[in-house]
Amino acid sequence: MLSYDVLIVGAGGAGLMAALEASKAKDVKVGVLTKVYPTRSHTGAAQGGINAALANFDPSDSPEVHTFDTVKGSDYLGDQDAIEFMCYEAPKRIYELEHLGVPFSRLPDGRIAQRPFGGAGFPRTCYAADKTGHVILHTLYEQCLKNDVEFLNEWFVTELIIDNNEAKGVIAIDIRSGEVHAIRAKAIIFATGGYARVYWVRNTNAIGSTGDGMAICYRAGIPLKDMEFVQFHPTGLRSTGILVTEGARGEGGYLINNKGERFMAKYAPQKMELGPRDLVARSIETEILEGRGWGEGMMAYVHLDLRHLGAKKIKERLPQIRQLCIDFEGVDPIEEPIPVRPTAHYSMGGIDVRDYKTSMTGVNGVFAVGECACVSVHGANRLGGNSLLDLVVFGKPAGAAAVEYARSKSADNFNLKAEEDRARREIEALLKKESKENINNIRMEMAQTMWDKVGIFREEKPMLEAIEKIKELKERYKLLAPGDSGKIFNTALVNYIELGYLLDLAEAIAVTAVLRKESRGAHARRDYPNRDDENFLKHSLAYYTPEGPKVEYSEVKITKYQPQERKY
Amino acid sequence: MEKFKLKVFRYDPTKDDKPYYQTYELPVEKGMTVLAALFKAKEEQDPSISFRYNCRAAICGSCAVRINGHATLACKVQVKHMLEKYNTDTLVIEPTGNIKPLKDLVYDMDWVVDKLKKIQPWFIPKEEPPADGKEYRQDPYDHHKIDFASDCILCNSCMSDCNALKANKDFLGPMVISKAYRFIADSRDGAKRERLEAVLKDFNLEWCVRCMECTTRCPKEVQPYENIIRTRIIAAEEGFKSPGEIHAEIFEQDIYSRGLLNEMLLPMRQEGLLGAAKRAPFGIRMFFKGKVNIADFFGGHKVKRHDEVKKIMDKAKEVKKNIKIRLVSDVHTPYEDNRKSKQGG
Repeated sequence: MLSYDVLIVGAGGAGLMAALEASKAKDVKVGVLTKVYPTRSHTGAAQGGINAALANFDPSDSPEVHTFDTVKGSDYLGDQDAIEFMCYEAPKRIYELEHLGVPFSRLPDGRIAQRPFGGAGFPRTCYAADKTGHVILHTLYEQCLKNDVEFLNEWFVTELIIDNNEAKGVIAIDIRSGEVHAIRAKAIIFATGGYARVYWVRNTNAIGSTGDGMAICYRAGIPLKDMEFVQFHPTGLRSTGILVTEGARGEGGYLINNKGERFMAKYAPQKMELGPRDLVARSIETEILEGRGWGEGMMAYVHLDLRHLGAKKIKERLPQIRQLCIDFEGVDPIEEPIPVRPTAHYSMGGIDVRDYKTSMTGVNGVFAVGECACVSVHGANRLGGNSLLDLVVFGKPAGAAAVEYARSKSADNFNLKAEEDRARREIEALLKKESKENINNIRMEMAQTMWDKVGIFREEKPMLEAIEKIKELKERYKLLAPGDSGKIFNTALVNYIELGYLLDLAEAIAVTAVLRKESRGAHARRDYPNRDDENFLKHSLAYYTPEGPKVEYSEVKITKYQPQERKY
Repeated sequence: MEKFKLKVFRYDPTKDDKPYYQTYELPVEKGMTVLAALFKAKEEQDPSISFRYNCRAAICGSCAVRINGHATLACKVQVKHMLEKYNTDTLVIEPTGNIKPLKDLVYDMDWVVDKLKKIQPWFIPKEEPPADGKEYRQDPYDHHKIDFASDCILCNSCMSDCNALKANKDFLGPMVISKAYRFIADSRDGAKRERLEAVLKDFNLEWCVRCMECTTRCPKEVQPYENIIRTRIIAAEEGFKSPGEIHAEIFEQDIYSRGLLNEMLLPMRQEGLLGAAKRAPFGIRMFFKGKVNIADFFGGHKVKRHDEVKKIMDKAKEVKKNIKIRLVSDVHTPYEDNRKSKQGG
């Protein structure tokens, strides 16, 4: 049986950062399990940049201002001690990344370049053209190769095994051979990314961003925190949902409605197009709902116009965005405005982390970092450029803490073999199963339900309908079969299991959203348009039960900044 | 609605003796990428098709396949464009070339990672970080040299269509050498010589046949071919004497000293007496055809106004030290713009 001291599930920025840190301990056996090759992880798609108050561009910036911007951006739902930790660690982590070789864009004097980003008081976002996540991901992978980190590439975790509130291991499928394995591990770090794929096509995430780690932990009894908070990115391409980064607006792009107006003047007169994401997303959606967009229904859109920037600037500063529009939308931003509309982008919610310094959950030996975790530093709304930061700032200490934890544990005799045999029988039964139900139908119905009823604007009645619909889809899912009985590279089996994860998460989102009777950050209720600090300045915690999520609440950590109205 | 045929390479080593092709008929939908077509075939007709995917936005590098014989990312091309390009109603989808298929369109990535490891594909700092703990300084010009090279997403499109790799499976291949270039050209990196030794070993830089398939296929403008040439130039500057470099040096010496090439003595200078002796019959035939001048054997003649040639070369050497050449970061766009203007739009 495969056995590790520290097992990291997921090899994006957070997982690799943890792996790199853990691999420095030579007395500890570290393994990284990932369902795609590490460089295929969704971190690579982060374009815009990573925030740190280096004050390279503007000397008056400081970690303190960064902290305040983040607290305010979170609509005061973020834990202020954790946010402060993140913002003060940020410069150190950026320099560390640079020392590992990340090719950041430079200022004329050779220092790391920084640019302005939504919701930030200063140009604070470090970047590498429009491929910041890509170069960070590749650099971390390269350093892991250097440190001889052991990778289990194209493995897929199906279960977390916990006994007596202690991590014992996981059940996983080796996609390449189709074999089902139990893997013994003292410490397990989940770094599996977000759940935006509950909105399936109307989202910016990779096809594999199916919230695996969250659903696995949830089913194993670990609560999910703040699941109702889904960030909608204001600008996804009309037909594919692929993200047009904030960089396009940061460089000076205009949002235009069908009257030819720069409509952000109405919603955020000072910041205009650089207002925080949830505000811009709601503004665009309002324009569309009130008939000032082009097109109809799900296909409606507004224009993101870059033409005034000129061909030279677009080619130099936004080459990837330009190529993206040509390839996926058939539009060259030098010649035409880009048709855009909001799409689901980021999961603020995630696995409930109890201690931000170690990223440990309520179960001993189970850690969570990155988008799949909820510390919470993003609260009700994440600022652009803070997600990559979250990965590296919390990934590193989690790696170190997992090593420490593993060292403190001696080998035990928990009977994982029995779990492995049971899981193998279950998978074998699945492969033999037959069904008339089609996976895509269930998935699309789930996405449509979530977009229409638990999307950008929310209201009690539609959300209750959504919960009923998800329950019905879960029943239909029980009758569904993977459809492929093959052994090797059976991606139909993987897709089947992923859909099960998504349905559980969709239910948790809808139930927590209905219970939060206020509007805060990305959670906008039409029936409760105001923030209600008296009743809802608290984190929601969804616990798994076979009948549906059971919701409890926990305190928000407030240190320096008392809640104020959030205005930009 | 208009239909097209998606003809997919199928192979399951646990079931099939050899690969075969299976054809799925699909509608030509507006905005449909080839990856979307593969998903449509998988979800509606045959769940057993295996292919890699993730970002569907041309940044993860998972979905490289060959479409009608040429490698590309399935997520980055429109079905409609491909049908027009090849003037056909059938798209043949095969796994990347040169790399062993494991199942259907899934290929053996580990083979590539093992190749990568030979050039130490990780940053090795030249010096300790600055005392204040801040960043290594890098001039924007120096950054620019590695900027596009670090765009590589390891998708293997270039490896797939490389003609040298087809002839020699031990060749490192364009993706690996290009990755080496990304570090060799990094002003902060300290392992330039080790990496150059690794790519010069077994004549890896010489194996490139300059067909430019890699640069043509690259979906990210990484310019693998140009990076191979840039690596050769850096190797020469660092004093490594590869056969190509010796050849180039003889050319330069000849042009400088006489303004034209001495083909009579070239083999001897390049390969020594013994090597040249092997080529003697060929040289004698050339002599009788009047292609070489026997006088060259004794030093030969110079071109007219040779001193002007010399002056040009001296001047070039002098200014070379001070000139910063900005590398073209976008090699495809001129082609694309030309194509557009040809199409009358």
